[in-house]
Amino acid sequence: MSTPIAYFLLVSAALFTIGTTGVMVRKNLLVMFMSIELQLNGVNLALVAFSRMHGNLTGQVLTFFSMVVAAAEVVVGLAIIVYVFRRRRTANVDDLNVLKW
Amino acid sequence: MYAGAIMVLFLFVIMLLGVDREESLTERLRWQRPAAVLLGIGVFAELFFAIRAGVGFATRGAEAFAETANRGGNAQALSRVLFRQYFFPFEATSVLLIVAAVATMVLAHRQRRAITRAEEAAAEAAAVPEPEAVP
Repeated sequence: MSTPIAYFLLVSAALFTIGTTGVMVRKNLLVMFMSIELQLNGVNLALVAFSRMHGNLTGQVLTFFSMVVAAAEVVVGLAIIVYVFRRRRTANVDDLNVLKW
Repeated sequence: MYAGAIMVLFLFVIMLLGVDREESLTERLRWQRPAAVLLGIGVFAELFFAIRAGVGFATRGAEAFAETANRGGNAQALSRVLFRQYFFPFEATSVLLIVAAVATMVLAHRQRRAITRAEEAAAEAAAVPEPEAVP
C-alpha cells in the first residue's frame, strides 16, 4: 500500500507555515526572501501530492513551470536586494523606511 | 535544478553581502514576534483541518500509477506530457528566463557614466593651482 496523501500534504502545510512565520518574524531581507521560497516549495509539494492522488501528471508539469517562474523571480529579487544593499549598506527591513509616510 | 540554480544563487548573495553580522535585536513593534508565532500556529491548524476535511487520512494515491500515467518511467511520461500537451508554455518559459536574466544584468550592473568634455575641463581647471600673486 502506498503512503496516504494526507501525510505529504501535512509536510507541505508545515513548510508553508514555517515560511509564513519566517517572513513575519525575521528582519533580514535575504532571510525573508528565503522564507518566501519555502512557502513556494510547500505549495510545489502539495501539487506533486495531488498529482499522485489523482494519478495524473499535470500537477508535476505545473510544478516544473512554477519552479521556472521561481527561478526567474529569485534572480530578479536577489538583484534588487543586491542593489538596495549597495545603495543603503544594509539588508535590514527596519532601515529601509524611505517610502514610509 | 532547484538546489543547483536557486540555492547556489542564494549562497552567492549571502557571501556577497556578508550577512554574518549580527541581526539587530531592537524591536520596532514589540508584539510582532508573538503575534507572528500565534498566526503561524493558526495557519497550520487551519491547513490541518482543511486537509482532514478535504482529503482525509485514508485517501491513498491512485492504484497502478506506474502502469497508467507513469508508463515507461516518470521521466519519459513527464516529458511526453510536457512536450506534447504543454509545449507552448514550455517555450514561453524560455522567454521568461531570458527576460529575467537581462533584467538582472541591468539591475546589477554598476553604472559608469561617460565623462563629458565640459566636466573634463572643469576638473582640469580645478586641478591647476591658482597662480600666486606676484609680490
